[in-house]
Amino acid sequence: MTPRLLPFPLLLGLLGGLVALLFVASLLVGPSDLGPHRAIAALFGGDGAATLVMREIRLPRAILGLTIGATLGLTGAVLQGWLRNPLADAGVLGIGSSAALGAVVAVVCGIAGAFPLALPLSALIGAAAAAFLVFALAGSDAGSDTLILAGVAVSSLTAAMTALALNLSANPFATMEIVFWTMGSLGDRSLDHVFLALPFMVVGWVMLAGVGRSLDALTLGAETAASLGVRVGRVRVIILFATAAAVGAGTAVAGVVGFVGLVVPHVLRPLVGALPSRLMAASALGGAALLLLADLTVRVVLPTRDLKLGVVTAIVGAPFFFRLILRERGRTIR
Amino acid sequence: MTLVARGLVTRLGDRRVIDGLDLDLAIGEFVGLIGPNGAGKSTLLRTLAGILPHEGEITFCGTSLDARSGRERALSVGYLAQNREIAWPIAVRELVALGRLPHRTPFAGETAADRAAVAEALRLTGLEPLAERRIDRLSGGELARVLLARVLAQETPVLLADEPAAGLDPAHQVSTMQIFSDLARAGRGVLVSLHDLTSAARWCDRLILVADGRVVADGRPETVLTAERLAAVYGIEARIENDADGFSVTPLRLVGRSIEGVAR
Repeated sequence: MTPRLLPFPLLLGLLGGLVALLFVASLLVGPSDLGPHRAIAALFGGDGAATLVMREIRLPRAILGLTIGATLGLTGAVLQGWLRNPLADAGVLGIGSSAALGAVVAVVCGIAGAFPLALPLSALIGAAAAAFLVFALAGSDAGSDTLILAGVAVSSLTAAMTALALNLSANPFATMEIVFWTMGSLGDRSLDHVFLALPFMVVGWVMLAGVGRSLDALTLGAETAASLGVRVGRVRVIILFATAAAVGAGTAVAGVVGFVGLVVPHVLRPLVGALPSRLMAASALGGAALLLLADLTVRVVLPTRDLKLGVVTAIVGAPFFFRLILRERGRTIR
Repeated sequence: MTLVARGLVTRLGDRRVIDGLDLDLAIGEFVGLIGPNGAGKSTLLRTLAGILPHEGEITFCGTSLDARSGRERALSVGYLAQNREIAWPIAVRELVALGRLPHRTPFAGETAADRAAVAEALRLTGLEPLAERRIDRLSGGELARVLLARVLAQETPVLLADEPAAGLDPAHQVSTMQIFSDLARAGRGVLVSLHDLTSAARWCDRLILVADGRVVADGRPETVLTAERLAAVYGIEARIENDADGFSVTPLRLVGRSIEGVAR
C-alpha cells in the first residue's frame, strides 16, 4: 500500500483530537482576562459579563473557525478529486469572489447597515448566483476543463465588478470596509452569524458525504466511472451546488479565506493515500484544525492590531506553492 | 444468456457513428471486434457499456439494459477503456477494488466477497507481488494488467474491452488474450476490439467486422477475413495464410485510395 506513517483510523483520531484541543484553546484565548476554569464555567452560565463574553464572542468565533475550516478542507478535497487536479479548490468555481461581490454590493448600496445580517445575506446570494451562472455557462454535460473555464470567467467578471465598485465608491469608509472584508476574519461574529451560515454548511456537508465513492470511480476517468454506474452529470450538480452552499455561507460570514482548501488536501494526501473518499474526512478535520490555529495566531501574535485571518492563511499557504514548484522541478527532465 | 443490440444508433455531434447496428454476444463466446480507425468500434463498446446515449435497444437475458439503473447495469456489463490515465497515485489493490463499487452498499465497508473477488483478479493477472505498489511506479504493461484486473474484479457476465492489447509487448499481448479466452471458456461473454488481425483470428471464436458504424461481416475468422473484404474495408492487400499454428494476416500494401492523401 502507499507508504503510510499511521493507520487511517488512528490518523482520523489524532486529527479529531487536535481539532478538539484547538477548539477549546479558541474558547480560552481573548482580550478579556478569564482564567480557563472561569471561562469554561461561564460558558455554561451564571457569570454575568464573563458568560456574555463566552457565549456572544468566543463561542461563535470557535464554532465558525471549526465549521468554516472543515468546509474549506472538505470542499478542497472534493474539488481536487472531482476535477482530477491537485490545484483546485472552491476558488476555481468563482464562489468566493462572487460572495465578495455580493458583500460589496451590500456595502456600496448602503443596505449593509440596514439590519445586522444584510451583508452576509447579500454575500450568500452572490455565491448562489455564481453557482447558477457557472452551471448555465458550462452546460449540463460539461467536462472539467469547461467547468474550470466557466469558473474563471465568473470570478474574473466578479473581481472586475468589485474593482469597479471600489473605484467609484465615494465613501472611503465603505472602501475600507470592503477591503477588510475581503481579507477574512472571525472577529466580532455573533451566534446570529452561526445560525445564518451553519444550516447551509450542514446541507453542503451532507450532500458531499454521498459523493466519495463516485469520486473514487472518477479516478479512472469519466467513462469508466460511468460504466461502473456513476451518474457523472448528477455528481457534477451535487458538487457544484453543495460547494456553493457551504463555501458561500462560510465566506458570507467570515469573508474570503484562501489557501485552506488548497493546502490541506495536499498535505494530507501522502498520509491518507490518494483515494478521494478517504481524503475527504481527513481533509475536513485538517481544514478545521488549520483555520482554528490561524485564528488563534491572529489573536495571540498581534492582539491589538486586528490582524486578518485571510492574511495569515495566505502567508502560511504561499510558501507551500514554493515547495510544490521545487518538487515539480525535481521531477522535470532536464 | 445473450447480450443483444438491435437497430443501434449513436450520434457524436451530428454524425451517426453507429448507424443501425445489430449484434449478438452469447455467454461463453470470445468475439473480436475489428475494423479500420473511425469505423465505430470504440463508440460501439461505449454504447454497449451504457456510457453514450443511443437509439435502438440493448437487452441482456431478455430484459432491457437501458431500463436498469447504472449500478444494476454495471453488475451485468464490465467495460475496460483504452484510456490508461489514472488521476491519483493509488495502490494497485485500491485500484482493482474500484471494480467492486457496483457491488457495494453506500457507506458500508468491503465484504468478504469483495476481498475474494479482488484477490482472484490479482491472481488471474499475476499481480499478487505488486498488490501494494503505487500505480505511478509501474511499467505500461503492468498498468494495463492492473486495469484488466479492475474489470475482472467487477465479476460481470459480459466483458467489453477497447483495444486491451494496444501498446503491449508480445508476451503481455499473449497473456492478455489468454485471460480473455479463459474467461470465455469459464462462461463469460467477451467482446474485444482489436487491430492485430492475426491475433484476432487466432484467439477469437468469432469476428465482427465493422465499417462506417455498420456490421460488414460476422462469423468465423476465416470466413470474415477474406482478401476481398480486407481490400474493400481496410484498403489493403494482405497475405492470408492458414497453417498448423493457425490463421495469419500480413498486410502488404495499400490498394486504391482508401486513405485520403495517401497515394497507392
